[in-house]
Amino acid sequence: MVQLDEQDLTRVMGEVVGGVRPSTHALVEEGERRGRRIKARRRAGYSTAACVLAGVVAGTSWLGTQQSTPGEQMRILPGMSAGGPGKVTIPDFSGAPTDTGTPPGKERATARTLARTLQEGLMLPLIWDVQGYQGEVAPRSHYEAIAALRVGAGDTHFTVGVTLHSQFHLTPHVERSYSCDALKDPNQTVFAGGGKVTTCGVRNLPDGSVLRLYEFQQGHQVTPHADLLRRDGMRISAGVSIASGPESGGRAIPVTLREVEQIVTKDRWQVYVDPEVNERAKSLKPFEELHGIADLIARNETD
Amino acid sequence: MGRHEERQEEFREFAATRGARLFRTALLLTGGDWHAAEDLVQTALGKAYASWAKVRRADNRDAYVRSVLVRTHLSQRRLKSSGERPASELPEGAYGDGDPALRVALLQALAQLPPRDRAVLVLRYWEDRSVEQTAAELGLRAGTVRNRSMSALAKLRDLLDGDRESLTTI
Repeated sequence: MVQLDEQDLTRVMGEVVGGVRPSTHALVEEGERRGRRIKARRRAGYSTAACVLAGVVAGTSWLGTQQSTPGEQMRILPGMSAGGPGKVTIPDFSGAPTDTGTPPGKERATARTLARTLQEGLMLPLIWDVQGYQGEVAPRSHYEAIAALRVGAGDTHFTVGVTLHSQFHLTPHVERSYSCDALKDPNQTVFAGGGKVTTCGVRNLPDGSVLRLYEFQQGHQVTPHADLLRRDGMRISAGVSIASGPESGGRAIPVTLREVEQIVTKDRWQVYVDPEVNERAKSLKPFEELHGIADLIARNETD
Repeated sequence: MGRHEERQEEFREFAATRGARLFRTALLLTGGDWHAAEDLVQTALGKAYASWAKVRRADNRDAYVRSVLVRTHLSQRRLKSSGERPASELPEGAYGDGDPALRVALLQALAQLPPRDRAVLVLRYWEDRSVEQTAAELGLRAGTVRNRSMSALAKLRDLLDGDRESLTTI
């Protein structure tokens, strides 16, 4: 038998392929071409979910096709301000709890659980049916998740969604995010599809958390959105988005600004829940598990 | 230059400097199938391009992309029913000055090993990765890598037994 030991094998391999000279140019060029294709497929895969969730995720820039034009007038909601530094007080987060991992006997809320919580907080007229659910919990150390309900009546369909982001207070320039001007800033907010923010307002709630409400107009439809930064550092956004094309239909969306405000201010939005809560949510059907949406939203990527 | 262009340039530079090395690894992984190795590297680089924002943040980009390469190879092997083409079909002249007999003997012997065993040998002895690093890159336990490494090396010795002449040049 040939006495091929470990050192010999290293040497032989080096001798056999060490002098190989492939066409690096072809490898790089074709690699890049395939990479572009993967990204295009990924975008296409995301586009459906992205479009319907667009309204929920203001504050991200990756969806983009058109932002509200800077300088365009938006109406400030009564009893609220335009927000931003000096106009609202960002909570003092020094006492915010540190995430030390999953508490004993608990587990992270799944996207289905979020979808279920969202459904329970939504009072829809009987004519409207929830036709499906989708969501995702991003695989990150802190909690970032998105869940949405697809709702329809006749030829009108819309999506109502919610995003949760724990430890959001650690994000740079938080105070600037909670302003109406941020909705005009293409670096902070880009909405999928054409349209404009028509009304907006920011205020502190009695417990110190910051709430931003706004309405987005696309064609004849106006959709409500709410964005809350809690004192524990959790950001909760909720909103309605309308599918483009014939699906948008002619019926008015039955969700109001007040209702999305009530959704985000519910204290049921928690990162950790009892296992039976997640277990119960498994009955939600049909549920589509999204991939990469929450992560992309969090990373705020544009490429 | 915008952020997008900067990152694109960064990727190109990385791919251009590491492409040849990745290709040599791919050639060993595919048992000497030049075309499959090209395809494998291009796929791995494509994946790296598509996730460059993540790759560039990795502590060790080389290890990250190599891991993509190896895992892509193993998953392709699971999906494809056809095997690699024999080393004799490889373009002559592209190999440099190495001994052709030795090359054919080793690549053909490697081609007869199960893909995962081949990956273990390539990572351990060509990439000079430790047992633990190999285990991490392949998603295996260290003990499994140790056992596979020993048994694959023994199998390789058996396969090369008939090529005593070429191997005496070692």
